Amino acid sequence: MRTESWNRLPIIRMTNVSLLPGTWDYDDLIADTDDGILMETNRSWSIDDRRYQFQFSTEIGWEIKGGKKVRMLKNPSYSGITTEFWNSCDAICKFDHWALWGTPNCGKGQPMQTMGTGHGASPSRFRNVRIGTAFSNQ
Amino acid sequence: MKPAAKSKKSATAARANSPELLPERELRRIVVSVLRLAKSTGAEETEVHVDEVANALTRFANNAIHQNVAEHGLTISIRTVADGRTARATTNRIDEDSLRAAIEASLSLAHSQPKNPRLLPMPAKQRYRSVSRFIKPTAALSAEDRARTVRRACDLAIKNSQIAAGIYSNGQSQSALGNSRGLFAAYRETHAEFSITIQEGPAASWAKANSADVRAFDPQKLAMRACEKAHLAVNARELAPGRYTVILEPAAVLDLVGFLFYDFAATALEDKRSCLNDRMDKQLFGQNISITDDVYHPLQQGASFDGEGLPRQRVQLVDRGVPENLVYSRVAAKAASQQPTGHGFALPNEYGEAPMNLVFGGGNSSLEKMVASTERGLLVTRLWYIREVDPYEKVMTGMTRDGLFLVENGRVTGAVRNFRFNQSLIEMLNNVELLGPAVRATGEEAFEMVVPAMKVRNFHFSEVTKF
Repeated sequence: MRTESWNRLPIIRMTNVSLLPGTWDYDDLIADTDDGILMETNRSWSIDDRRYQFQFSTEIGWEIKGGKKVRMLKNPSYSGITTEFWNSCDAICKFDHWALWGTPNCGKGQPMQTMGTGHGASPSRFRNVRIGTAFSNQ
Repeated sequence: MKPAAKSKKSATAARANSPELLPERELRRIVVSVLRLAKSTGAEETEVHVDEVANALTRFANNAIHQNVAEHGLTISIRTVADGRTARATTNRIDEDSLRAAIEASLSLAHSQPKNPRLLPMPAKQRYRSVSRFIKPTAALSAEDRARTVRRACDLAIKNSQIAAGIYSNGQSQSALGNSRGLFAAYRETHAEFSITIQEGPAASWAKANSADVRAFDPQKLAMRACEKAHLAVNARELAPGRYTVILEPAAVLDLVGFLFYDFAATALEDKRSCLNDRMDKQLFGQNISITDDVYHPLQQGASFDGEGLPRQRVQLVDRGVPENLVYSRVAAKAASQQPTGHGFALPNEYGEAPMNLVFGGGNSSLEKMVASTERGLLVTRLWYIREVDPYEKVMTGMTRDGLFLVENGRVTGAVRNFRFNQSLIEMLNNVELLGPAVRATGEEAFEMVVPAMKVRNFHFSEVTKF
């Protein structure tokens, strides 16, 4: 339970959810990936009101082919169902590559309460993820 | 022994939880005090904003009230200018020592800022067109009044074996702005809002309204509509993603087009972060799309002056699909050799200005006519978690929620599972087939605007969710 200030009732909110680091070295993870996309720097985020279907897009990405970063990609996006997505995670990098991210303005409640959040994670790999829906035309 | 007579005072006290705002002369007194105190400091110019807010909110969930909160506060925000530098400090105390401390804090912050070569002298006295949005019945709405209304809505949900949640709020606010060049502006308004979500098993629906005048909407009618739709939304079936004709209720339109407002800011075009860069004065939207910024519209709210005290002008932003005009703060206007339009944010700020009172042109259709005219399409109650995917093509993503219904051969035939959309607003506003009358719409992603319901062809739903 947290409250923004003296003049607000506390509400349930998870401001600090982090992914525990794993065991992979970052370079080894890239080298182990035959066909994938490395995505960096989140730029849009959206999820349904029961937190199943989501879509995120990032500023930049690189194709990974045969264990090497090759072509740069612009605005890659990915989407899926939360439970299926997290069940497809098969590698998490170790603490050496862990970084704390977050947003300064997570908003919830009526009246509105705004709070900074902190979410840490290491680079991680997910299999069979749908990509490109943000710019698809179907 | 005679029992003590019931005190008239206690009855009065029970109704007296409607606070009284300070009289305007008191706000003026605070402004004058700050300006007087600032004279003896190193401030070359001083600007004061005094904001008073008295809000109350009743929250209900699981068919019962679980919170009732109220607050009444005053904020004094002081901006000083010294040697081409400016900064702002805020206090909620009005004794002279506290005001003096805020002035000194503002000056100290200003001295640590870089010089701003675009900083203009503060504006002098202005003349304002008056707007009257202080409605006594709204201000007088008590906690008991709100509780009675919520009780009726919850009783309806209970009768239907449904679960109600939501809020009923009301309040009053006033602002005064003055500066050391003699400018003074003041404004007060009331507001009331009712929002209800109804759940029936896995299905849900929602209705919401707000206004300066609490008599402008009927919470029980909103509750009834939400109850009907929640019942209709049970047993939603799954459809394939694709391009559909959609009938967007006003709240759904609002939460989408609301993301256009900052694109009409002159500073956004100067920064090259507007979807209107290189598109002004060209046929960008359909000819049935016209947009103004008009704080004087009867369904709008807000002060008739901007963050520096300039009077807000009515601006025709889009005329029959052609973006024609932008809004300008004083600084942006000078940079562009234009006249300011009275839409600047309080200084200092990063964004310059924005139209805050958008009014879309409406039409003669209605939701019923839109449904009746549709061979196959989707009726959308509202949209959710809308975020910008591509700022120049204005591709937005988000979800439907709280009632998505299939329309076939002119009738609503059942509920469907919610979709994710990825849709360019520019493309969408070229595909509007029908418009309803423009109404005051309120949602969750954009501030209130006056927008119509719309029937749109080829709306892009890219994925479906599990409910």
